[in-house]
Amino acid sequence: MRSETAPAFFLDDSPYPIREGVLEAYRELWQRFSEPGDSWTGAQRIAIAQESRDAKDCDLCVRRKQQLSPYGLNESHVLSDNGKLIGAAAVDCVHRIVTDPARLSRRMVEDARSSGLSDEQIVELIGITCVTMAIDEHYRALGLPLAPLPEPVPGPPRGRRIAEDRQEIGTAYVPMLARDSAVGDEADLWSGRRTAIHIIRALSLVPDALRDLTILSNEQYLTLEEAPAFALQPEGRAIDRLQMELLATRVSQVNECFY
Amino acid sequence: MNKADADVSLLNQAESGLPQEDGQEVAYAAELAAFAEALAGGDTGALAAARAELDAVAGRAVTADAAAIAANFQCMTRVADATGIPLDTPMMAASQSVRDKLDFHQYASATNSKPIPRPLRPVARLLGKAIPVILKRVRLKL
Repeated sequence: MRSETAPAFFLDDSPYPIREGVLEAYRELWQRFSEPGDSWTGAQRIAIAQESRDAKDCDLCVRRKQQLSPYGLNESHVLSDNGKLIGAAAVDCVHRIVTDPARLSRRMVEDARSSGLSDEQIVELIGITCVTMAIDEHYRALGLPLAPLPEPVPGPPRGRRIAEDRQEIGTAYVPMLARDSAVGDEADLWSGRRTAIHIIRALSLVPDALRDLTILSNEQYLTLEEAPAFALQPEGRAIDRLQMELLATRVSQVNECFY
Repeated sequence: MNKADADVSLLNQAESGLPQEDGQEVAYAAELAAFAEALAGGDTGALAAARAELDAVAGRAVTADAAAIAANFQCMTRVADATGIPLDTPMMAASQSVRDKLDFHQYASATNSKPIPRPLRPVARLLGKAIPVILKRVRLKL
């Protein structure tokens, strides 16, 4: 279901020449986030996005990060009205992902499960948090104000699930779609290839979360077809492939991401 | 030499995993590295300064695209580490030497990936040299 009026988000009015394809992708993602997902309502999905913004100013997260262990403080987040829409466990996950990426661990996912969140809810939450952050970070990087979040579309979660016999369990903290299971409604997920690397499969338990990530990365970075082609200079870009990989490496290094 | 310098140096070497022509260098490497570091580090003042420097030397179109790439990897690193995916074995083999040099194995998220067994490391080194050459020849069929 789509809103009747197109949201006036991500207008081409920036002092920086942001490519139209990028802006179009952001508009599409805002629309997708506003609609009910597989495990969360539209209102909850927008609440997750808002929480990813609020985490940047979270006092508890600042104090946690100063601790030797990310679980060194026996305190919980005080929930805002926004946070109450998704609950304490979800708020905690969102905040840890945004503010302490180098110390994310299996415990975050296990704690969320123990609190009653399903694997599908956890994966959908990770997707919304990270994609919202990518859009916001683009604007922060350019010193531009963040776009307002869209109004949620009412309705219950759609409740779609990947059957257990198509899941690969144990490779990561969360189940993923098995390598050979991108068929039927999920045939598009590996972009027509027989298999995919782990970063593509990471969110595949919730296919629409992977589709969101693909919409984002196709425009911010490269398509699945372009990524392995190091000799290729993507059209319409002001930076070349080596510059792209330098930026990627430096961000990964600061975030202490082994992958 | 600081860490940013080290990155730039590595990216200027064939063993970085990126295919390069002899003598090819990364344009605006220091400014781009500082910009990416400031964004990921979350220091608003440093980010404004790095952005202004990049604007001045490279122009706003470069800054706009650089911001998109850096933002994308703010996302991708978190997807990888929140879901706990291991590094794919071919990627591990291709990047083993640079990971060793930059000491990536000290990162907490390194525990998600199995290291290449010692007996197989010579094979991995060969693969590490071969894969960039193969990737260099990959062309899109447009």
